[in-house]
Amino acid sequence: MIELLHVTKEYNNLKVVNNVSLKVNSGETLVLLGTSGSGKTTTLKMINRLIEPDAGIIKINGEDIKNLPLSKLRRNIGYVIQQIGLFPHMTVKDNIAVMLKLCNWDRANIKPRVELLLNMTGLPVEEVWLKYPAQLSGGQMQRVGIARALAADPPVVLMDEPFGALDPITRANVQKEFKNLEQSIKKTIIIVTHDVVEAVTLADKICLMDEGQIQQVGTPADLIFKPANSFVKQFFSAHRLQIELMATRLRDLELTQEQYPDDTNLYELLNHLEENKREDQNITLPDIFEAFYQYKIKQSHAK
Amino acid sequence: MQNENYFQFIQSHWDELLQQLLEHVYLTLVGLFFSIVIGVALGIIMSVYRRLSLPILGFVSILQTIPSIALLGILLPLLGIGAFPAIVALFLYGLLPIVRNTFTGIDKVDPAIVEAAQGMGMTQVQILQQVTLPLALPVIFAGIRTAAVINVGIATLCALIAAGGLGEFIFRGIALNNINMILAGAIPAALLALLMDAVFAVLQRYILAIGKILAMALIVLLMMLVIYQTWPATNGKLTAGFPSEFIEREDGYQGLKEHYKLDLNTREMEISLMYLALMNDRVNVISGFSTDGKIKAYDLRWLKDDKNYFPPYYAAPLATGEVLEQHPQLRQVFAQLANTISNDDMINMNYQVEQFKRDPYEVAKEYLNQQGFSTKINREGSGDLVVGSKNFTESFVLAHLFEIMIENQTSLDVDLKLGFGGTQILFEALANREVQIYPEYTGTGFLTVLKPDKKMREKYIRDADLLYQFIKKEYRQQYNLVWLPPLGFNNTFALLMKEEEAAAMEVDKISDLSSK
Repeated sequence: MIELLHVTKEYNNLKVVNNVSLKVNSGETLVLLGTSGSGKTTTLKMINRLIEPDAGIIKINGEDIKNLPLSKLRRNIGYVIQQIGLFPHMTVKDNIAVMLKLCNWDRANIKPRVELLLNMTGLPVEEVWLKYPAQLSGGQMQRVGIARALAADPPVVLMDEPFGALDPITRANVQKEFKNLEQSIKKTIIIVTHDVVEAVTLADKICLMDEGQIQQVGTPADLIFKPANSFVKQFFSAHRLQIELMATRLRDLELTQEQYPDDTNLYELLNHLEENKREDQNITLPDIFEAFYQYKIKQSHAK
Repeated sequence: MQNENYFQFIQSHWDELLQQLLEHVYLTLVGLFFSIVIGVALGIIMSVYRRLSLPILGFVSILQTIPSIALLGILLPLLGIGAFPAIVALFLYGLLPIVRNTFTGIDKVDPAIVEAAQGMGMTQVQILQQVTLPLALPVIFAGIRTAAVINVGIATLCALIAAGGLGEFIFRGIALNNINMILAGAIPAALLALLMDAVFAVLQRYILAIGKILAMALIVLLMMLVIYQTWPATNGKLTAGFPSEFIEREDGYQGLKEHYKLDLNTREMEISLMYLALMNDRVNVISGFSTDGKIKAYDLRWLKDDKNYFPPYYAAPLATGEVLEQHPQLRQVFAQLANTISNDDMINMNYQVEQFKRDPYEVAKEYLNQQGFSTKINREGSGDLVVGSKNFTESFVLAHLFEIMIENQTSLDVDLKLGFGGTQILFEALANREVQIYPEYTGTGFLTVLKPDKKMREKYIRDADLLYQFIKKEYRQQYNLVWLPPLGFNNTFALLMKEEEAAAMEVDKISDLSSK
């Protein structure tokens, strides 16, 4: 569990992060969402102390991170950045192994672990194993970056615009894979992004920030259907239908279906129906949209 | 020697060339080694403490702007002569490119890569070791290669402070006007620069793989080089410091060695540095001139040329036939000076001028007073005759001596034309009757003016009287010039030792050296 208590960071008398308090439960994925300059990246970097806060306390599992040795703190936090930052003079294998060596892994265990990580991130082991970063595609590089961050099995992963540099198609693929990975590895993950669709895709919880302050924290559905203020409402106006569908799950609509798990969101469901040409379905589009509409009305009344 | 072609020269000087090449490599590598160690360290410090980068870079840049000769000159009084100050100079010159490139190389590493490394929990040292330094390596190596090439060039200048190296051939070749010899130093130096550049280029490619092995190998190599360099100094032989020209000339050390069966280590150095080297016990013997004022200034002993190796250089007035016919009384004047000035007298006069910056006129006057000559008259006016001199202390003193004698013993008025830039020029002035009298040396008058062939040289060079009679006859016939009686002292080449050391070793004459 990660807790931020009244955290503030100033640059030249400007409060980039202003009295932020936030709680991320273990195994939860929180997305820090906001425009550039909103303070989301600064907030993230204060968690692995790349930036030191001017005021406030940050705790991981109840322990103030100021009291931990820097290297020990960071070795327990996976860190992924937009520019990836792979070491250009090392092979893919060494890029991942360097993290394991830092954590004093037994030599014999390193190779199988690297193979496992490459498999986990969907990379062809034999093919990329001995390649240098410059020989990889953007998507492959970011996968290696994620594999490196997960290498020592850290309980916490911080990601700063991890998919921002990828083209839309690659991004969608890597996002989808990451979403699956996220569910299987059960880590506490904080992701910084300015992309609303990405946020709704990946988040258990979203924390929307503006001018250094938290505007709203909650599930994607909370922010979309029950915006706390006009800024939040405004922020989610783009791709409105898509994110509404993504934030709504079958169980929310009380439309249980045997073929689909009840946490399937409507966007996935519609894609699925589209792929299967709506054949042999006992669920129809009008049913879905009727239920969705009722749900929206209920949400707005609940406010 | 001049008729040899380049390859024959290389062949006949092979051992020496190899020795110089090894010295050159030694100087360059040791200097470079310290440049790399200190330079990379400074570069790293600058990248960590940014505020220091400007002062450090400024300091090493200023070092670079000091002309190399000047830097050697600055280091001389502090560190003496030989390999040590040379290495220090090379080390200082190697710093700038290495410091700057190390700093730039680290500074230009993609910040995202550094951030990723920090985020992984690498310590600052680990980031340097595993990330920034390896990534900066190509840039650092570019700096090292620049420094290596610069140092190979500057190391040639180190020959001037007796550090050895290929500069010996170059400077000796310049002194002797021997193009083959210059090229024997210059071409290997150029090839060495290219080779070093190539070696470091290859090294750069493999250094990450062989880093530790390489570091060990380098240290071992360096120790071997240091041992090699210090070896010759401990072989029990005496060490002599000679200027380039003296070492190479057949009538210099080459002949002396055979004549006396000498076995000395020779160190090549600038004339002005020889005395410093002797006083600091870097060498035991130096070459010099037997009437040099420094003999007295430094309390030296000049070793007697007991087997008559060096040509006689007896000083004597050289006058035109016309001036002697016109003023026959001049002959009487100089007859009084014949054989009166001893070597010690002349050493003392030179010493008075050089050590105490006294006026040569005063020194000459004082000497003549002591000898009981009248020195009161000092005429001014339109001169009846002109006395000339060459451009060194002894010649100045002698010219004044002549002036005082003539003006006090006759009614003639003497004009002086002092400081002619060489024997040839002054002799021409005499031959054209612009000068009527000047002090000349018998050996110089023989070798420089008459330019005898080898047979003639061998016939006359070892016998002072025979030589004097010969040149007297030849000058009279060829130029109508007259050699007046010699003044008594012989300003020839001499080997010099510190008085106390010579006394302790019981060395009095050159042949005593052959048994040491």
